[in-house]
Amino acid sequence: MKTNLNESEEPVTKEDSKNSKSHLYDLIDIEEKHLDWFIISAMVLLLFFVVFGIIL
Amino acid sequence: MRVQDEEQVPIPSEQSGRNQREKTREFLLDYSLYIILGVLIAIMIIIEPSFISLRNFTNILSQASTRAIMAMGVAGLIVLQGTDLSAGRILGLSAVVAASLLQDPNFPSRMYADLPQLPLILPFIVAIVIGAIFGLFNGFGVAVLKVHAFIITLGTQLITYGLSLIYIDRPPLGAQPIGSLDKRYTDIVRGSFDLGVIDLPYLVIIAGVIGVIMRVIWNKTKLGKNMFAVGGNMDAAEVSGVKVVKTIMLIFLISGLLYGVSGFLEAARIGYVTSNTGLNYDLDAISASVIGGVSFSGGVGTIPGVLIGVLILQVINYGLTYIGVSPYLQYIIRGLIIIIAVALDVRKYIKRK
Repeated sequence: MKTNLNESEEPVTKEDSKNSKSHLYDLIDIEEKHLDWFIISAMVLLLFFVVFGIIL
Repeated sequence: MRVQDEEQVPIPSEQSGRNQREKTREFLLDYSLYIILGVLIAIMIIIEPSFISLRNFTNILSQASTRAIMAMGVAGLIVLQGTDLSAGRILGLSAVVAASLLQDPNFPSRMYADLPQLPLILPFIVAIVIGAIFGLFNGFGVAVLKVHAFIITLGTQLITYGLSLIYIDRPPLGAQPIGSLDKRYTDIVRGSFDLGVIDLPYLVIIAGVIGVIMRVIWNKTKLGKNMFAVGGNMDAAEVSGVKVVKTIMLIFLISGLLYGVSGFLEAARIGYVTSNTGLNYDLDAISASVIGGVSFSGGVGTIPGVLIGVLILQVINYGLTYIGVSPYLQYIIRGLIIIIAVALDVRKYIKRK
């Protein structure tokens, strides 16, 4: 069955979508390890503010 | 030499222990937001055991209802890899206009002193038309002009805020809150069914019905399937024959309609409106959506997830006030919850890639 693709266009493959920079998150260049530490730090900060708020 | 060999080849039990630790670490990080929110709720209950009461439960459900209606609109846009920073202000504008048209006819300081008592449906239609206009405006910017949703909705946020201020701050009354709303209006929104053990607010039923409709739209209609296709991979959706512009416009239109509905309901729920009604509601809706599993990377999300996200966030907001945490600190806490939710979403995306 024919698709509505022009001859010059190639189908978008899974690989293409992996390499595409269309996602907002593709702009974020961070290693997973650093991201994990960022998340843990944010959580510690969150708990700190909750405890601080309760004490205050 | 033998020692070296032993160092190079890990002992199976040691390796499985390491795998186990790795799995535990992954699990803890993947579900860390739910764990920490659970800890927060536990802290609230320990400090104020009276937090667990039917009255609080009803209040939380009632407050969450209007937020949930709005969040379902925002979630659709996040599925499309977009967002909406103007949602709260569109809600605010709809609320201000609806409330001004539905003030008690016997109230001497009405905004429109000569306005007769209107049927409820008329201000409701006005509110959803306002939502629809700005929803379409945002949709046009994103789908046709290809402006990123962050930019166009940021602009709309300011435009709608400006319009609210112009509308509300007029002589002779000036920028006073619009209160003393028509009893017919407040009764419909604040009323509840007496189920014996619990009074179920009408608002919860309205939000539930809209939730069912939205779930059908998302999961059972062509529009919903196209929305997930466009959000997952716009190029692939386009070459598959999906009308991308039409899909984006329709999803923005639905979102606008939902903001209009929630604005109409929110005004009556609070009992008065000011130009600040709806402030930061959009950020709550975004964080509720992300907590509920809607991904900023697009193409992922469910309506029940969004509703659970709204409920969790509302429990936290209500609980923090209940245990006496300063509202200023609550802004910081909510900001951190958004940051953690999005960082976890980024983490999932990186892993998937």
